[in-house]
Amino acid sequence: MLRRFVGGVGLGTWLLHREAPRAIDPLAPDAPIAFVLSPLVGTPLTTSAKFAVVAKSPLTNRLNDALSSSHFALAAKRAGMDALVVVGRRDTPSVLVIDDGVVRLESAADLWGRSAGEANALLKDRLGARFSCAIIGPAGERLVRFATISHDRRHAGRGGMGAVLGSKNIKAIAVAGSQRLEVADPQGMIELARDLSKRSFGPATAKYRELGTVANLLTFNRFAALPTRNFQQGAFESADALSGESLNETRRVARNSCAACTIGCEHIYAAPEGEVRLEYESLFALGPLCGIGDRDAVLSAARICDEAGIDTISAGATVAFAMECAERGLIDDPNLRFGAADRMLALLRQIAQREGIGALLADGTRRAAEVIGGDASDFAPHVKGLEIPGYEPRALQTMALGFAVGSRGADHNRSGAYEVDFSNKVDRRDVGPESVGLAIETEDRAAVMDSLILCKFLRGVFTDYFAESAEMLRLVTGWDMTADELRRTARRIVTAKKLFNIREGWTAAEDTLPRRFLSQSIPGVGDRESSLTQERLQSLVAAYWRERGWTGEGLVPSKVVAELELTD
Amino acid sequence: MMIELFGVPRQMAGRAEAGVFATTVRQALFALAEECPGIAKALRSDGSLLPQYLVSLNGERFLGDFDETLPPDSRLLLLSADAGG
Repeated sequence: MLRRFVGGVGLGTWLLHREAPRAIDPLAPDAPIAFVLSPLVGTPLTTSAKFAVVAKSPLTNRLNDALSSSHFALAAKRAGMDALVVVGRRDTPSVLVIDDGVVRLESAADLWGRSAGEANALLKDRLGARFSCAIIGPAGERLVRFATISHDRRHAGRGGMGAVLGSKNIKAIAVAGSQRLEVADPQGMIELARDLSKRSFGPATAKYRELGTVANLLTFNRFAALPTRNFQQGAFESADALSGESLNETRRVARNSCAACTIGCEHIYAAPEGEVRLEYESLFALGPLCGIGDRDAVLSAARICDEAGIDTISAGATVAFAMECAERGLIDDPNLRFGAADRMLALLRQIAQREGIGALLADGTRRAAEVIGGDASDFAPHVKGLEIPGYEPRALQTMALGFAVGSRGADHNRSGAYEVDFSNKVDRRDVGPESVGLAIETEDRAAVMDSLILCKFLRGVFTDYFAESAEMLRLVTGWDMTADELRRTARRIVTAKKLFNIREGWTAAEDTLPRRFLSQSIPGVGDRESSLTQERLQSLVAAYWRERGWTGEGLVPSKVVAELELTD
Repeated sequence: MMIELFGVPRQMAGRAEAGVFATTVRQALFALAEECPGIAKALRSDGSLLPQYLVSLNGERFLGDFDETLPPDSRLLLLSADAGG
């Protein structure tokens, strides 16, 4: 089984098939949440200190997997973990402690209500510095459906994994241990690790190291692919003020690395209230998407999200959606307008606390739109309930396909289809069937990367990704893995996720985009507008299902299930 | 023609844009490297780009043929290939 699913997201998907009761409410006591390590954790391979959190999402009601990297993964491996599945519900707030394989529960009464950072400091005082912790903030306690799980200032961010842990009254999981990792070929591993580290310093990772992902903002703006004012425009007039270049010049205070990483992509900035890490996704969602051009307001907003423990993409998209609702008169809030920075900051706090209108918005844009009514669902920016990240789908149409078919919803990490749009292989504003196989290739590569788990920022350093990944697995496990076997594994993992969603009620109508994207064009580069019709997207989705070997209704035939050894 | 620079290429060049005289992409990139020597790190010796970088014509399409003849009023956009974030 481990060889068929590798670890991380793959193994987590298999666990969820086994452990989750059918049609379970994601916030019910019996709903499982799995923490699954990379099989490479504890090796000297750069960026390998990672884990996946896998559960049924309270935001989408579909399979969700959120990745993170931190000392939590290293400590969990030393504690003897490959995977941990949590079910049930405590009567009172609790900490789950795993010390060298021994599990116990402690009170979290003194931690409840505190930010992840505060709770982490208190827990380390209580348990000792050898413990690493994964913690929810106040938003997870209040079951905000896009709450995160935090550790080392990073987050398992998307899909509301923090709410699932909060529903179990678990404030934190603390792990420590003393076990050593044995690998099949220690010398080979050291040599490969040295080589990979050396390559990680090269030009393929320069953007992340030198400028960080915030460098995307100006580029996307120039290509009219920067989602602005709740996806009503593809370029923002204040992009220069918010650009990565501008932030780095005026606000950057440090550059950090994740645990066991040689890339060093974390750029830390000075917000008015203190320091904050900022990535492109947070910048676009809390800036242009809300019409905010004030960089201090964006940095403050990112800090609020981090302290509350909410996903910045869903948070920004939800605020932007609410701003448009208010401007259209669907919400009575005269101060809630695009560009209203103070109201955005206040609304983020309301969402985290489920106060006032924040209680409605804490359920995400899909549910909020259903309650608000009118035509709100047409411009609620989500796929399957997960808010759309910072890639304008009408200007990047291979990515539009990636969003539509994504098993966890609109997703830029499980499909790298934007890479196809940023290439000479397609016309990004008029893509055809030639883009489908290329999109699948990025999705398959991501499925393996997320199961191994290695950082996607490394992807440019590999010459033959599947062959090199097979070699990594061979060095750790001794398996005679080949590139072809890993390609098949990728298809197995993607299909296993799909099968879970089908089991939980997926219908073909879910593989689409909101009506706005299929009925309204936006200004593009030059004289040409960017537009995407429902017919074109449907034909791409149908071609995707066909190329995956699925039926015309997007279902998985039993023949494919058998071929991919998914019968159990 | 004008060449607009984004991300790492902008950092290498030390400026956001540069004007060059050229009729092909290759000529334009060579001319850019003469004007902004730091950008040479993004080029192969034959004037094509390393795979970590992309060049777009007017933001409308990405170019793969470095000998393509360009209209005189072209704007070339030079950027990092990794668009992920």
